[in-house]
Amino acid sequence: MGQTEFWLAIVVMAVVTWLSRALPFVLMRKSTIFGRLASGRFAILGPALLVSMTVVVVYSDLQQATSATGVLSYFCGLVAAGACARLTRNAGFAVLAGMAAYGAALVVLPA
Amino acid sequence: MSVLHNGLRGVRAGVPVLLGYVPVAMAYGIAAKGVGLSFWETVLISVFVYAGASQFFILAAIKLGTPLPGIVAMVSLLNARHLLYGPLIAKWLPPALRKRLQAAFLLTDEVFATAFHGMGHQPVNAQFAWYMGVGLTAWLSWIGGTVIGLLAGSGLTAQFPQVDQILRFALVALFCSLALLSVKRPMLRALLIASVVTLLCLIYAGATPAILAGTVSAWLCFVPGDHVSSDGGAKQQDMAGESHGAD
Repeated sequence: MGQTEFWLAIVVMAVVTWLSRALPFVLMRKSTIFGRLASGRFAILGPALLVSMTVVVVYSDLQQATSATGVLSYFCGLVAAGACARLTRNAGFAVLAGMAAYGAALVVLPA
Repeated sequence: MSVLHNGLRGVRAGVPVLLGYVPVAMAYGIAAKGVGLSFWETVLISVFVYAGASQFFILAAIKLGTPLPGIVAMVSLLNARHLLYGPLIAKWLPPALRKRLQAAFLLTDEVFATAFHGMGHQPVNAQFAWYMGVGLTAWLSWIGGTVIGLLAGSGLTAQFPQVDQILRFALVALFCSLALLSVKRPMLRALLIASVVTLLCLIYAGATPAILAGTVSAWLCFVPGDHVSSDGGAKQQDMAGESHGAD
């Protein structure tokens, strides 16, 4: 790939990425149709996206795990993050608790 | 409350994203150096393309010599899920086109997840500043991580492998906790089915189709009417996932 073609590819990809993010915002600027996306049957779309992304991230990570200790530590981190999220209802604290538990498990559990 | 104050609240909400982005962006910087991209080429891709999966795909495409139309088609497919994010958070953004276009540039998976959870809890006049605080924190941490990866190279991650491993866990913990916080009891059956569909599609078709298929299957399986009693209105509102604690 030549230098010109490389930069053309980068510019096209930057525009495509931005457009895919901007299109719904622009289309919905004066429309009220999408306001219903947070109610009724559509209320599940947001949580479903988050759950699907979580499944993808967790599965991809576990596929790369090389040891049982790694998997166990991973689940310790997930449980700690989940428990902290439920108790504090604060995602920031949950992330910190998950990282702390994951790190502690990596150190404490036998390799 | 001033714009700056609201923006800073957004920055605080964006810290978990920052913790997760830095090591991944470092990995991108290291990999870009590996395929022979210059410092500025690598940094400018992070600045303007700003999409993790697409950027790693660009590196692979450069390595394989993939033609331009093929790269654009794949990046479009990878970004298809973004079309679903906008409709869910657009109601919290001001109608001004310029502001919406600015907000769109910063909309990544993690920013969407954080905004979907926290934006509704901000006062109406603070929502845009809060969102920009989250978005800019994520964007700058992505650029910063890329630069660190380029400058420090693989030596840093090799020297502290466990710190790198723990920091990478931040994104998983973020998704897991935000998903848990957004789930309501009446949604459990549909979301369980969606998880299975996502997993199957992930194995056979890849990440983006899996996310889209999982979301659509949840929508198809979810019947809110079954769970609405005589005080259905209140219950419906609760199911919309708008009653969580703030950031």
